[in-house]
Amino acid sequence: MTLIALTVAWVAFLLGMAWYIAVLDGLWAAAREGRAPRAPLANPLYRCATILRQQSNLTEAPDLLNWRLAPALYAGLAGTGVALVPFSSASVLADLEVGIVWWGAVEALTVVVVFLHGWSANSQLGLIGAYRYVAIGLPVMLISMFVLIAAALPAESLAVPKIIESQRELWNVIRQPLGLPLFLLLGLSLSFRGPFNYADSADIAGGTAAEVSGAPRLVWEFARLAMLTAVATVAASVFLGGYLGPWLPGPVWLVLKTTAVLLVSVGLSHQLARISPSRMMTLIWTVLLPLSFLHLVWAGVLAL
Amino acid sequence: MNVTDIAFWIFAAIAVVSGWRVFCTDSMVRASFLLMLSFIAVGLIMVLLNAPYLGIATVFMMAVEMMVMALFMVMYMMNPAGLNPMMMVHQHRFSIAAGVFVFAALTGLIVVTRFSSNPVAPDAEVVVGLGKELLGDSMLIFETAGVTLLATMVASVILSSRSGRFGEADTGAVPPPLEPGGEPAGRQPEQASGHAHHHH
Amino acid sequence: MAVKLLERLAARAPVPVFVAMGRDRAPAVERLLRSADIDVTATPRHASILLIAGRVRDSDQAYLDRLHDQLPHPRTTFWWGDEPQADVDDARRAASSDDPVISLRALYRNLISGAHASETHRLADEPPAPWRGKGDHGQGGEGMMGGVPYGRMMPMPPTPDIRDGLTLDVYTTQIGPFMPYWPAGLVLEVTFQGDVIQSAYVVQPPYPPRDVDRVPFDRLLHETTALAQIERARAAHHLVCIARVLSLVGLPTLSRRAQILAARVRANETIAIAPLRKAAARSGLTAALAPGLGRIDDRLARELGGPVQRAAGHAIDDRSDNPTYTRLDFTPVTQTQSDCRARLAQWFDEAEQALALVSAAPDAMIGQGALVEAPWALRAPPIDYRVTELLPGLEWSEALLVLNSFDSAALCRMGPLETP
Repeated sequence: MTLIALTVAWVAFLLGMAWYIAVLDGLWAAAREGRAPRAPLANPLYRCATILRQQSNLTEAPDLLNWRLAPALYAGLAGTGVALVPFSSASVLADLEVGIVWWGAVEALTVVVVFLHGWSANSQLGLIGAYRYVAIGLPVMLISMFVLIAAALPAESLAVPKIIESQRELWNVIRQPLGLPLFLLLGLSLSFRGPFNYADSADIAGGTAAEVSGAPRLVWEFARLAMLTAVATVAASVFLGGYLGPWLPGPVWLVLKTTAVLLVSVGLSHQLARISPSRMMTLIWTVLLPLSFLHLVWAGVLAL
Repeated sequence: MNVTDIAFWIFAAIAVVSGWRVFCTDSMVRASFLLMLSFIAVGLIMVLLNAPYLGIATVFMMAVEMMVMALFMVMYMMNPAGLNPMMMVHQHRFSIAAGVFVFAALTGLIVVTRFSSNPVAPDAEVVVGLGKELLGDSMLIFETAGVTLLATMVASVILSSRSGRFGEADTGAVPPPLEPGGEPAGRQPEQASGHAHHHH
Repeated sequence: MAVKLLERLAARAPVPVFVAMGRDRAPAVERLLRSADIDVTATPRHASILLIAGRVRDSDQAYLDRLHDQLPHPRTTFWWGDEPQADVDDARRAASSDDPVISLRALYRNLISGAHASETHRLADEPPAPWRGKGDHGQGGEGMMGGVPYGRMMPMPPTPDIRDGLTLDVYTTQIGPFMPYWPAGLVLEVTFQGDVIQSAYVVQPPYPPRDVDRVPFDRLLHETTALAQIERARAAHHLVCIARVLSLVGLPTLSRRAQILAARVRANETIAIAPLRKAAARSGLTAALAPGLGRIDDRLARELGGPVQRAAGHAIDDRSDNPTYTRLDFTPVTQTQSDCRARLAQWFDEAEQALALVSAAPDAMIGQGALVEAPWALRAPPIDYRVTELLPGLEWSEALLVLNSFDSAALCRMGPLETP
């Protein structure tokens, strides 16, 4: 019974947050362009219907199996990410002893899936997007692993519920101030948004999604939003104490914190320009990675 | 037959079939990811064997490893950008012989070995135990082995990359020009501030 | 039932349109972007309506057909311009002076409800070369290596790459002429290593500057024209150039804002560019353009003239000698670095200066036939320099930034036909 209730909550959470991000995107863009938003609440639904009304096309000699599987796998990975996170102290869908390691596997498999999506369409611009995404996605993943290991240190556990419980006195965002900002970059990278949109950007005509239309495209676009949701949910739990909080019930706190993290992520993705991939690589390897390493050392010294 | 048994047989079948398909496919990318799928199935079997850390770490490592391997194979392949269909096996006789020999040896080992029957208690803290083992009594061994391996990798890269793609490494590897006597091609170090193009 | 609901919802969405920019690029494509009812897509695969803005060359027709067939069903074509190249009904065309948004919405509604039939393939749906399945996997050759896979030529460079002697690890493809954020009309054959351009040559040159930008300058040849009109046209031209760069660095919302500003300048509204510039600077626009990216040498800058020349530090501008402008104490603005950053800053500076001139002398007139600097420079003949010489060694997104840091006139002069 609780399993069924949890599964329903999990699906509703993913769909609701995806819709919330799409609405935020519309509002933010309209404010930045200096015009009134167009049907802000319903526009995401209209756009879903538009995409769904289009035919699922084919390219010449694609790797059809991988091409069709990639969007579904991407959405599935996002889903398992959200499943790791407890809604309250008693309700978690996937109570893994090694939750953080599984999240690392989700990140690594996401890089594979995005690459396959670009590669399997048999199209040159998709392939460029795929190459670029791997070059940026892999080092960003390393950063997030350092950050997550640092968060696991005070909890002395790799399980997400235990990491949340370790924040009863003090949230990790205060204990380890660099963690959350670095982890937000991972969110932008995993869902390739704004300054980290190297996979599906406009300069390569939509990149890995350049050739896809119809239902597979809808799944792909949903998966991008779901993945950002997964990152925000993990961030809210690992750095902001998840369901912990006074007065309100646990799930409400988790939703509130997730929406706040999403607001910041959407803001960052609209406000920051993208630098060229080669310079981003330099930035990641020479500044951000050493920074995350320092962060880990800091967290280790603190935990002693 | 309980759920764990069914899961084991499914993962085992995936591991074997995808491992076999690695040699039948016509593309380096597909071969890499089929191999990844095979390893993931093995990793999940390890989870079934109550080794969650090792199992999921295998999934994680294999995903990264196969991604990097696929890209490097495509990068260094002479076939145009490594993207044309191609035959994934070569040296047929030698590889068949090696495969048969290794299979026979490993199967023989399984048959002659007496596996101990010493089930772990269901509530045992295996991850904590593994951590204590890796960073406790065996720490010296593991760290020595780890640092030695890392040093070996770094050293072999340094030794093999002296004659690098863009010239001897110790003379400063600057990309050669696209035409004789021209400016170095490609991305310049930041202080050289970009591409000074000449008008001809 | 469910299908009906889907149709009803889809009909209320922004119309997904892919714009193929034709030769005169029907005036004010910016107006399309101004409307929240139109969703200009980055790829034909996401669009339902192919909008052909202006005329296309005969040699572009084949590209247009291929583009058309990439649109998913239901799909249709819409001509915006004075001379559609096919017999089309009124539902699928608008004159260049019309605002096509209402027509596009109506057409889209009919398209998804089935009242307007989806267009069929223009080209045969078959591989461009016959299957030549030699080898175990159709790789076209014996053993491990490929030969002529799928009957296609192996895209091999004619000589070994002198950088490392590898001859085969590249692939060659044609890009253009209707790619978004790509100089309209330009077709390049590009050889990539990964996403780094190894070589490129021009298959088709880009289109000259848009008619809509030329109008006041052409008029000046025959009649006395208001300074305000001339300078507004300059500001609008530069804003559109800026908008393209903003899109390329991942700031689509600011790009749209620049397009909207351009449309408002043309509509004689009073606008300020400073807020846009500030927002772009705060978003890290300068950091997004690597210092020195796309730097050209002095001789090329001088030959190209116009804003490109002034971005290289030469204060040469026809307006300096014009009495109307000298009365307003006009001095040309310049930059020093002659790279992408400098050319972008030059556009911003010149657009702001143009609007300052308009507000300083709203009623000033310029005599017929007077020499006034155009927003670009197009007086000299094609020059002995290829746009493709700028590209080798650049990563793809950098290459696009370099291409888009020149106005279409400069690209035209650098992009005559080449043979490989």
